[in-house]
Amino acid sequence: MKRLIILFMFCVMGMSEGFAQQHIDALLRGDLYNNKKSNTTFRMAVKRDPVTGEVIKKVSELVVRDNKALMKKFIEAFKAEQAGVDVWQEQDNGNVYDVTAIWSKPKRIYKFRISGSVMVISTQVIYKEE
Amino acid sequence: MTQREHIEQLVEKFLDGRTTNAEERELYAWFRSNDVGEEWAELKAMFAWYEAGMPEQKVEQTPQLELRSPRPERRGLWIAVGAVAGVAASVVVALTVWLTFDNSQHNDLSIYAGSYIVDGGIRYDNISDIEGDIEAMLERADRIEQSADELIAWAQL
Repeated sequence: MKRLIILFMFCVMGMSEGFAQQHIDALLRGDLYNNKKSNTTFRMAVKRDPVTGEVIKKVSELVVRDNKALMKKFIEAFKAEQAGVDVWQEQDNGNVYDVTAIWSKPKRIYKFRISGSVMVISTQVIYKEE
Repeated sequence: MTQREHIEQLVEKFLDGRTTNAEERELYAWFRSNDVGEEWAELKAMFAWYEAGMPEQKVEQTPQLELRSPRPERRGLWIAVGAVAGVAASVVVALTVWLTFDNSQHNDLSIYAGSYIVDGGIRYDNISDIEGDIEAMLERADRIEQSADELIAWAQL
């Protein structure tokens, strides 16, 4: 049975940046995936203004394969952030489960998607609109 | 047969290459000692040249040799000049292309300074190696951002 859950939460804007995404960021900053056995690929892209060199956007992407323990940690980290997000969307159609969490000031879009044994976590912090 | 007709016959024979040495000497002598008129002026000059041992040929050869001698040098000089000019032009073109490419690459790469990939525990941070991956990821991020913007707009309605 196809299920679709969409939940939006509007929280108080201007939440301290120190609190936002701390669980997810802590996991991404950690070295859980930083070994050969983790079955992960982590990418960090920093996009800069070509003139000033100022950081416009930071994007990270973690692909976790066949690592249920790590997948569980990220799900828990996302859930822990849910109360503080500006926009939260959660969808589950039975095959794919994904969550999008959005914060503002600076604009942060965190998303994870689980499909089978693969989880993709994508985060981006937009410091300057292009 | 008049003397002139006889000489005409000998000239024909000479031009056909059938004259004997005696006949040729006769021709040389006759053309040397007679005023042949304008119509045979060229023949007179030709036989005088043969009689003198074909000196004009030597004269012609000398200038030819003189001309030929500098030609290879000139040709060599021009080839050398051309080669130098070609190399110089190639260097200028290559330098221009390199500077342009290097600058554009430098600009492109500096845009992504600080980016890296960790795959299977191995870190890759040479931007030129991971540039394709980084750009692909940024494109995915742009699509996610578009969806997020739509979500925000819908949520704010």
